[in-house]
Amino acid sequence: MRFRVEQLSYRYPVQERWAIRDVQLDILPGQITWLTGTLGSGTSTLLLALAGLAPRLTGGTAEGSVVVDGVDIATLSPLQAGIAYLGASPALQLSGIAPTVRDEIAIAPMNLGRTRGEILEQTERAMTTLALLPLAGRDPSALSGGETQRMLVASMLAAAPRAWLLDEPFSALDLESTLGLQRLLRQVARAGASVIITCDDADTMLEIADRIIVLDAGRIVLDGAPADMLAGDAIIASGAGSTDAATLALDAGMPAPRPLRRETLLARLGNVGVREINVAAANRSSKSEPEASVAFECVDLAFSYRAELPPVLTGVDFRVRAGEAVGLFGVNGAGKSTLLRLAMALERPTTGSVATLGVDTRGRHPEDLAPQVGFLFQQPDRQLFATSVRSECELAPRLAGWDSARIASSITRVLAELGLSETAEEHPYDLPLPRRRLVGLATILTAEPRLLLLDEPTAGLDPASRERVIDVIRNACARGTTVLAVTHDAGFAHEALGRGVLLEHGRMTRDGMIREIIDDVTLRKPAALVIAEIMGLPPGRDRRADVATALRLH
Amino acid sequence: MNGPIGRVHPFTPAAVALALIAMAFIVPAGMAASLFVLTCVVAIAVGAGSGVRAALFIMIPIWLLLLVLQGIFGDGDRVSAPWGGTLSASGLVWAFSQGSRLALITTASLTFAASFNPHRFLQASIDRGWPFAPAYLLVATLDAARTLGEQARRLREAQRTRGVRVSGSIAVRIGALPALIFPLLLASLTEADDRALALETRGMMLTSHRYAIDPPRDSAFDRVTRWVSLIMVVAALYWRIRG
Repeated sequence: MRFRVEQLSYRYPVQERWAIRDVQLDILPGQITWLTGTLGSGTSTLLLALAGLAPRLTGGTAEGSVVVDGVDIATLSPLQAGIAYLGASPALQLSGIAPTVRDEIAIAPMNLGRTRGEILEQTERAMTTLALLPLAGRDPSALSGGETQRMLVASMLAAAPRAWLLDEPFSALDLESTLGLQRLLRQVARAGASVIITCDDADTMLEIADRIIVLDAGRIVLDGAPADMLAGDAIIASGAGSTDAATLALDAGMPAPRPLRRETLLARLGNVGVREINVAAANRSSKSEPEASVAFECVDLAFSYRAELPPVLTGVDFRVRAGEAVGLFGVNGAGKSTLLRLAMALERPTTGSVATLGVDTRGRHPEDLAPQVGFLFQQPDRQLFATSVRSECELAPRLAGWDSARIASSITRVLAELGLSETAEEHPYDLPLPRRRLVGLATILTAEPRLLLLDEPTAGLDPASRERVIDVIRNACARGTTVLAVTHDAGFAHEALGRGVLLEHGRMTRDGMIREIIDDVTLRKPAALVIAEIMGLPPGRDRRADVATALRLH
Repeated sequence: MNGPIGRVHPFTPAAVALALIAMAFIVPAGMAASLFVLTCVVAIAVGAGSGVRAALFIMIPIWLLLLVLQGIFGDGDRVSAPWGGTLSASGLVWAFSQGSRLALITTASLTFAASFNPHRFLQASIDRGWPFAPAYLLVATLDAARTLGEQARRLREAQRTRGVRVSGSIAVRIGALPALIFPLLLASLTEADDRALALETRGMMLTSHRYAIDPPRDSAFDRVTRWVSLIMVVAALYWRIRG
């Protein structure tokens, strides 16, 4: 399917600024096209326009045209035209009428008028491809974020589209699911489909994209082969960011073209003085430090959402000391988000106990723990309720009895740290989805909680925003705040967290230093960590800035 | 839904509920009260007790209010009240009769809503070859309360994690309501936009012919029940007009 975009401009209703401006594009079938840029650059809006959804459903004003195989997209229904679209918030795309995952996946072929036999065959094939057969009978609305994303991709596959348009499709996926989706997208592109993806993860996209298009303030500023673009300076200047290895090389002062993968970076570095490193010894030494008070503890914890359902968590035992930054890892559906909900007293343990900041959560409510405990939901965009970013941030400290001057000062500081100062008076729902995630984080940070419970804090963020989140969390930890974060982002985990806990099938199977856990679990190992190990940098001095400094000296 | 009501054809509870609502307007008050009791008993027996509980929760205060107001302020002959004073006899009769009709309508509606399965209803509609879009819109409308409840739950959770007190005394609960209502309305409007996007991207509004994947079984019992419901309404109407 060929997309020809002619001088396309679009702005949302009651907005003065054009979200995309004068976009001229020709996207050929059989290619994977990657749209990227900073937050608010217009990539998601361009995807909506390519799907024919903007301005037809979103309202607003458009100029120019999008022509698909010779037909103006404005006159077509996407699915009927062979275009499948996955939004950045998959949960919002659930039909609401399907009792099981199998039924949800069957909806697309059913709506396309396929026969019963075809529907069943395409549904089974899609479920097999996306490894969803074990979830076939589950309620779609009860799936984890990553499972929902996989289910909707399966629904797209069952429709056998000629164009796949995906907005941040990897944001909630574990590595195994990411690799599976990469394989699938390569297959469908080889079979002649057009694949267009917005994504901020350069490492994931480098492996599959044939073409990168970088937007800045709604205009195309770069367009070319990913390997060429990512190695150069122009993409850095655009703010879109490059791969993990190229960013480390940049920090270490290497000129362009920079290596894009760890292997090529290592080859370029030559002998950086390979030394043996005894992580276990370092681990032991860190454990011999004086013990701080316990900020979170669960003892023999078991939990099930309903008595007739299998348990989500079983026999989980661990504690987090004050000031620690701990990551919760595991595949989609392992029980990570549920554990966070239990920590916030949003759920009650079936058996065992959970103590948050020394308070047994049994018989307690979330409001008893707030604002000492700050909770970032996996979908914070659906949990904002005030009329401006500022008033959203005011609530928790106001309820805690802070005076106005202190509240204002805290909000100003937090919004500046997260790059949200200019949006303070805007309505949260007027902001792009990733920025709403930052607002969600700001709302809890302003009350200076002692414990932060964060569910995928970096999902869908551009590199600059991700760096800000890392800095904010590090600064909070330096002030003594405890962090318990669910993440699939190995780079974030390595930079911001110190310890990791692995959950598998609801059980805790590993607990150790973050670099050990990153080694053990199916997370992509950050380039900085690989080189830190080779250079013999000890834990605690193995983060990107440390490694970059060491490389500069080298 | 578990129990026999979860196994019947989805059009059957709809037909019975419609028939009961029609009967509430047609039959005399005494018979409406009997039908109300019968509906409660049958609904509980077939596994739709939650609908009956919801109906009683709504209707008992309304019924009591009607009896008190009509008893005190009603016209006509007056009878002695057990606690002293007098009450209007015709007012009490009016309150009983209108309360019975209202209770029957509420119980039939809520029992149907409690037993409603959107997926099975749509599959049955597709199987009958009915146009999909109106059926989907009907289902979405009937499901709106659940969607709104889910949205309210999410917002409530978010507010609670920031320290808003929503549990405790009735005063605390009522005090927390205004903080929920405006965001809920706004979120619902946003949700409506999102829902439109979902409808479009999932092909819900396509006019193509659809095939049911697992059409519900329409048994002889279902067909007889629906016909009996219709015949009873027609017979009641005939009886009332004639008599």
